[in-house]
Amino acid sequence: MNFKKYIQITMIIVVVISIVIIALGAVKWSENPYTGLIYLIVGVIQFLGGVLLFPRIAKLEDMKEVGNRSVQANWLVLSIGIAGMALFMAPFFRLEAMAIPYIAFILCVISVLLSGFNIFTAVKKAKARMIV
Amino acid sequence: MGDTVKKEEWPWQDAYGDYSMVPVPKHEKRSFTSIFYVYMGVLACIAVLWGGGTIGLQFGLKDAILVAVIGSAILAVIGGLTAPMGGIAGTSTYVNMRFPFGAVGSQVFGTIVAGIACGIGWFAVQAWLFGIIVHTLFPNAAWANVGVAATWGGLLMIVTAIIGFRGLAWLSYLAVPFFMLIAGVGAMIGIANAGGFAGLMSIMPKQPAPLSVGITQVVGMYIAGGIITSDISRYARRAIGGALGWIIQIIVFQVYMLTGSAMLMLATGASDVAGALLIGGAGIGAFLMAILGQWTTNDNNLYNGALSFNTWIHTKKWHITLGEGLIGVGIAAWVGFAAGASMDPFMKFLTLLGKILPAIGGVLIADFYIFRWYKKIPFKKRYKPQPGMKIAIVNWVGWLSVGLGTWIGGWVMKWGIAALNGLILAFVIYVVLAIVFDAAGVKIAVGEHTINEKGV
Repeated sequence: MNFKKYIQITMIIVVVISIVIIALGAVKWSENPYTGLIYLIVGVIQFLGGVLLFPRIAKLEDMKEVGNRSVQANWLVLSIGIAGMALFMAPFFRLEAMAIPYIAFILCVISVLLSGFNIFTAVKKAKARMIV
Repeated sequence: MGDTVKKEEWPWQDAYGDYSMVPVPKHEKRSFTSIFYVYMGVLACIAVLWGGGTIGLQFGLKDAILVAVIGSAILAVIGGLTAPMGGIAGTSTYVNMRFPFGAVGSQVFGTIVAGIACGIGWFAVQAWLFGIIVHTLFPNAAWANVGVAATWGGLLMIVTAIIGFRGLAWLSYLAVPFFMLIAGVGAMIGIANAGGFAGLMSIMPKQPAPLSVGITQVVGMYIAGGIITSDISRYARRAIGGALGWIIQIIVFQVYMLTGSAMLMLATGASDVAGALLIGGAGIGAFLMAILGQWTTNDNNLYNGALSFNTWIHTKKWHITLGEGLIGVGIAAWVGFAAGASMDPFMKFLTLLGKILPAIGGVLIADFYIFRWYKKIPFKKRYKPQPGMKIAIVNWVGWLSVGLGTWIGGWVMKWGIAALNGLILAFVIYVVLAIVFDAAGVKIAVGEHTINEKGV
């Protein structure tokens, strides 16, 4: 598969994950506003990281440049995903029904793995720089 | 032919690695994002949160914010003035120092500013702090003993510093967004503990300190970083990129981090940030904060230190990084085993740092912006070295200005902000003496040194 296509598909997955996290935050806002807020922050940052990549690579033909820009976006998704993993299960953000933190945690794991693999692929296939 | 063209464009040999003695070539320059992230990586550290915590114990929230904003604004101006030097010349702070201090001066002052202060002193202090934090979080684990944790933590930090700018950037990319989030979590815990924002605003410390004390603490805490901004900004594609990156991270994110941790401490009344986060319920986030926060800052300390030592120890930069790192780890482990959880060495070190470093920054700023303007050297050609260029061995006016600025600003003057006093005094003394002696035909440059293609 073309690298640009691959990145666009995986970033759609990241965007969908972030929307689910935002939705979970909104649903649980009334129970614990701090939990709602942290979900929203993580979700919105991942959402922006994913969504903003589309216009940034839309007109690019040079695969290396596509790779460089996707590396930037995926570093952000990766880092904020790790933060989500560390914080969603923390006692301060505890919820009565722990199913939701578990779901959010798993979603973060997926986004971390996906973004980590995207960085690897960008460096390997598109010859992108790991730092740009 | 291709080689000839390349040699004409960049007539240097990077003999020691990571362009430690020569200008960074165009193809190695990095985007604004990269520069910004690396600066943020330096900022994202426990020491800044600890500084915010100290402010939170001395001021109410309104004054704490005021202190953070004024202190950060001063630092933004200092770093905003030093960063373009690296951006224009493409060289590190210590290579730039050859102009206002001479070749030997850059070695001596570079070693004081970055080699001893950052590469060994700050590195050791932060590795030791790392040990304290890990011990606070896991008081019963043998691997979390202050000395033991300082050792393995310090060794981790050496690894990314040895990789060089790339290592710093990778780690910063990974850690900075996380660290910003955890500072926000600290604020949330503070607000929750105080029963809301209004409750937090109403809390006052038992013994409030004067605003000037807090501002001095904020400026003294990070003025070293403000003076050696060129070590990172030399990689910036545009000269203005390094300055902008520095100013934004200081004005926006340092204020945010200081305020976040001040809120946490104000509400909990705890004695340390990591412990307050753990008690507040940040869970594993508190531990990750301790590791990533210290790591991203301390590898920079080593990195800067190695750059300065490279001006007189002519070997591969990573050899120096490893050597100074091991010395720092040794000191941290010793302090950890001997002094346990005492904060005294840290506070003494900060006090001393605040007195020595700013004068050097003042002279650099005075020489780059005023004296070279007076000498009619175009802005974009200032501090740009060339193979075969002749520079002074000692610029005695630079030395004298630093000596007087440090002494008067740090020891004689009993008012104002000590760090800022030293910087401004050295700036004024250098401008006056350099221009007066130059106009009178008195040579301020002693001896002559020719820069070779290795940048030495």
